[in-house]
Amino acid sequence: MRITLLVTCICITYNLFTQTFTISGYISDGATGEKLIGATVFDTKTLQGTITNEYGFYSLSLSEDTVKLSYSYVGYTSQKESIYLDTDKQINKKLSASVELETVVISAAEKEEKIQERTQMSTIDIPIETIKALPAFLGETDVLKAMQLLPGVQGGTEGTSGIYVRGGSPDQNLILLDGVPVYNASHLFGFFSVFNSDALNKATLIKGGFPARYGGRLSSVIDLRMKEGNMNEYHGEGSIGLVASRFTIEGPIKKDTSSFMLSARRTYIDLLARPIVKASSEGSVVGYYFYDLNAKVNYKFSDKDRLYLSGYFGRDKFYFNDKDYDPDDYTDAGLDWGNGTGVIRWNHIVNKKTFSNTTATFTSYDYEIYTNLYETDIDDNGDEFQSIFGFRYFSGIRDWTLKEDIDFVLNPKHYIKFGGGVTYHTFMPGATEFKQEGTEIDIPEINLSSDNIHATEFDLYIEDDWEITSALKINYGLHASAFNVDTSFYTSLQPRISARYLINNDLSIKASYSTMTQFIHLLSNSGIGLPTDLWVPATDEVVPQNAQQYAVGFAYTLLNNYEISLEGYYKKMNNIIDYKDGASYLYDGVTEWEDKVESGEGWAYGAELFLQKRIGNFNGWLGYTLSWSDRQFPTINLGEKFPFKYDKRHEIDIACVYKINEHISLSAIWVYSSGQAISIPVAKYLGTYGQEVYYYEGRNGYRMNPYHRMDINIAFHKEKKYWTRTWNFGAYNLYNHKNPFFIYEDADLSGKGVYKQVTLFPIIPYFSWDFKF
Amino acid sequence: MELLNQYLKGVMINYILKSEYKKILIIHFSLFILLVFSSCQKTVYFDVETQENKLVVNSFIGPESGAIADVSLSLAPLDYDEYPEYITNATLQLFKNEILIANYTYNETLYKYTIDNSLTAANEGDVFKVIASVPGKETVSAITTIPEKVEIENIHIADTIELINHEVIYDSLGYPIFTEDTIPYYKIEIEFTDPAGENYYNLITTYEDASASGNVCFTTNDPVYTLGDEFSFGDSENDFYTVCDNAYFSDITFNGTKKILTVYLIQVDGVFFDDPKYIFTLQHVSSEYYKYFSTVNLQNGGTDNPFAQIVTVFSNIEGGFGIFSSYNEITAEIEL
Repeated sequence: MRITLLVTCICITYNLFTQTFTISGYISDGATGEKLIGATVFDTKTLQGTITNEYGFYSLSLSEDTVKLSYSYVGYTSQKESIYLDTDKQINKKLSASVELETVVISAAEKEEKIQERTQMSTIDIPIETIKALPAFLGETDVLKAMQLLPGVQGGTEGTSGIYVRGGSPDQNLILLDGVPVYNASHLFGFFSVFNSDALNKATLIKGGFPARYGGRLSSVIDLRMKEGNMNEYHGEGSIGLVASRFTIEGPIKKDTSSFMLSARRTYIDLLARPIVKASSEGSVVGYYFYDLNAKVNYKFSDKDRLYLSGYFGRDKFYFNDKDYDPDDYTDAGLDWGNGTGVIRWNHIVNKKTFSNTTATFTSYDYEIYTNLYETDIDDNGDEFQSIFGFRYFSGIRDWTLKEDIDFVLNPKHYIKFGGGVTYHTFMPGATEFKQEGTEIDIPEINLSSDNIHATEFDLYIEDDWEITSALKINYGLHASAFNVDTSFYTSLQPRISARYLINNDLSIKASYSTMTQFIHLLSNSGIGLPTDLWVPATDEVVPQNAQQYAVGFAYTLLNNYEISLEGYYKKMNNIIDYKDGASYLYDGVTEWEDKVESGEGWAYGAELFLQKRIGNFNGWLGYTLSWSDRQFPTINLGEKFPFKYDKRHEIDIACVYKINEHISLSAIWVYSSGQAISIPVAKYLGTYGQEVYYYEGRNGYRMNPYHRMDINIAFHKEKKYWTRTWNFGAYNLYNHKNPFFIYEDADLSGKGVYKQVTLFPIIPYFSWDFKF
Repeated sequence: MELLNQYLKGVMINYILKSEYKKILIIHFSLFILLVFSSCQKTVYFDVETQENKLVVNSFIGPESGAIADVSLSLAPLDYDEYPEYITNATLQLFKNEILIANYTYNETLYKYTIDNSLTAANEGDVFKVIASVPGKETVSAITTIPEKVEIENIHIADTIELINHEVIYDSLGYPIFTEDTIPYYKIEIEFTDPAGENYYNLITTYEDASASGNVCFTTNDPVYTLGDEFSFGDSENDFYTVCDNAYFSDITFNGTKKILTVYLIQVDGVFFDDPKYIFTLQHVSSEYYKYFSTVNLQNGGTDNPFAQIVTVFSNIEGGFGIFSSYNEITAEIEL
């Protein structure tokens, strides 16, 4: 109520002194009808402007006069028009791509909001087309792997798509697909992410200075938006690669009114390898595959109302069956896990200044491991019978969310967003089932499980992007949240502010402060997104985690083409959890997860340099990160502070794309990072009972060798009569550096014990064949 | 016309796949085979700075029990063929409040260095220091402070109850059958008052009859041994569990108050023992003692679990490894 009154008062006061009119509407891609996020609408006369929101909507209030409007977006030809503004107007604009069918080169927009002008800091948008142009592991383009190349983001273990942002852990990343959280973003034990880049329209990473509209995680927001589907024509694209193929089709259901997008991907290593596996294992079948399905439909009821329906479904499955080897006694076992998300969204233009977004979402993640042992035996009467012993373990999480977001463009100097939502969580923190059939004693089913936990999370927020002077602009807001679980009710007020001050047209200084609260935890022994990772809520014993982050930096645009940012940050995390010394994530049927973990504190601080060139035949970026990340718990590591598992002092990332000509483009990445922390014993000695005691220099007290590698890709494009095809050839780890994956102990040829370093990926060539029509 | 266009685009995929099919197939299989053979894990040696040949001292001192110690050398963790051996020619000096009071002497029967309890008399707060040296090795040292003696104020049999005993037997095919029956227990209560400040304890339960003596396990539903033991984890509900030999706990749940420990002992008198008596030794131990045993037991318990987190074992030996700690104990008996 207070917030509504405040907004109303500001509005009335403003209108008393000025006679303004509002231009509002949508900006979309002229060819596809896809809404353009972050497109600029700018009055070149008054130098006032705005940008479109996540749904392509804009609203710009200007004084009565002749206005010279410019509509622009990166990679699109800008449009200008001059009108006399004496009434409110709705203007929907369709922009055309400046270079048709060319995906690598991004041309300059006339008035793009430059990095130094943005209030938001610690935020990076990566164009999906750039992600697709970069070398990809086994040819599978991966948005999360591309994000690992950004400063402030650690990549975790070799080859995996784990994301560690500014010393945070993977559970502290809010990964949103069309606004819906995805709990486990990994396929194949983390080697690929679940996001099919063909289905994506936009990818944004926020590392700090979080706007108030985001909440629920401590370290980052990864906001991924799916394509809406072409409103005008049917188009498709796809790829056939070494391990997977994918296909996407989009088009109008009813031209200019509704469209759809459907995208699918599946690996087929299991199918290719099946004959080899079967021959070498005398009939056993073992295999692995994953698949993804993305779908989106949108329907425009009117100029003011639009409905979106989108969903994602993906699963991984590992299976083993040796029935063909021995039909009498065999094993049928498997491991499968996956995410499902669904969202229904209603966009409504309430009035010229107010945009409403009403959303209902569903997301789930579940994991299952099962083993069925079939045995044929002879009973006392000499009759043959078959017995089954079955084991099944499963866990998961499921959320239902309803939320409302309002964009209220008070005037060109105030862009206000507010809203709220409620989420109903169901946590299934691990259940084990046994069954025994066909024996003397049948056990129909024994269920050893931690009870499902239900929790309700509430969020409210308000933020204002306020241009105080032409040089000083701030984004300030408040996020309030509450969490009700069991007998506990937790509340949290999280103030957020970020500001930029323009020193001159090309250079600004920025600063931000944000507090974040997270009501859920991830129990993970690996940190690489293994399916065994377990989401659990804050409880009476394990309280919510929270963090405060401070950041300060400079943003500079050089020669109107090179974006440079330098940021320093300090983040303090409280009530984060980790496994106690000696604890294991395996459920022993007795020890509850709360008894295995301990709450403690974390510190992360460092500096990040980011230099990006987005325009021209040669584009890409260079990032350097200097960082520290430590943890401390009351008893873990004897209460001493220790390095976080992914504390890496230095990280350098270089990613570049070079278009040689219309038909050939080259891309390469090079990454270097300090060695990963590990725990290995460095001595053994006799304990008080004469037993061997192993001495560790603390948890994560040792470092593996530094990691570095180069990947390259060369793409050959050819435009055919009806379609375009691209051959991609590339290599992962081009110079075959033996990067550490893990360390283990073994005996050498003389029988002496030594430590050995396992390298997972030497040079790996790949290819993919892409097509588009 | 538009429908025709859409149809043509629809069949295009088929055309694309056919025209490029052979090229894809050839390249795919070539690279797949290359991948299979090249992506096997490669292993290289990894150098670790190990800390072998350091002195290891494990020593405990009780004012009324004397001092005992063993000395050995550390090995590199991967010296598979070698097992640490005890050193018999070490020099160990014991200081009380910075004054040398005795040298440990080597006892060939016990294979330990000892000091008689006539030399270790001490009061609460006295600081003991040990200095150990072996020719050719770095000299090591450590200190410990004698804790206050905590009296057992009351001990008695509070009740006799029957507890459920779970057992697994196997059928003729080897399949498990789960059974349960009830067994009578004595419920024994041991009462003491915890001093102010951070305190740690060890409860040792032994039996003694006319012919034998030894440690016994007891059953309890007192969560002090799990919740209070910050270095362990386990069932926090009121389920019964069994503790053997040494039961370590801290005063985190009853700091500065009266505490009644509840112990359930199985009624076996007359079956295995002849008119036994049970002896409860309540040791008020130094923090080093508690941290060492809590962590060392945890590490020993998790050595077979590859998924278990590593355990950093506590050591207070400067320049080496091991433990030097103290306790003050009181004993109470109960006859069943």
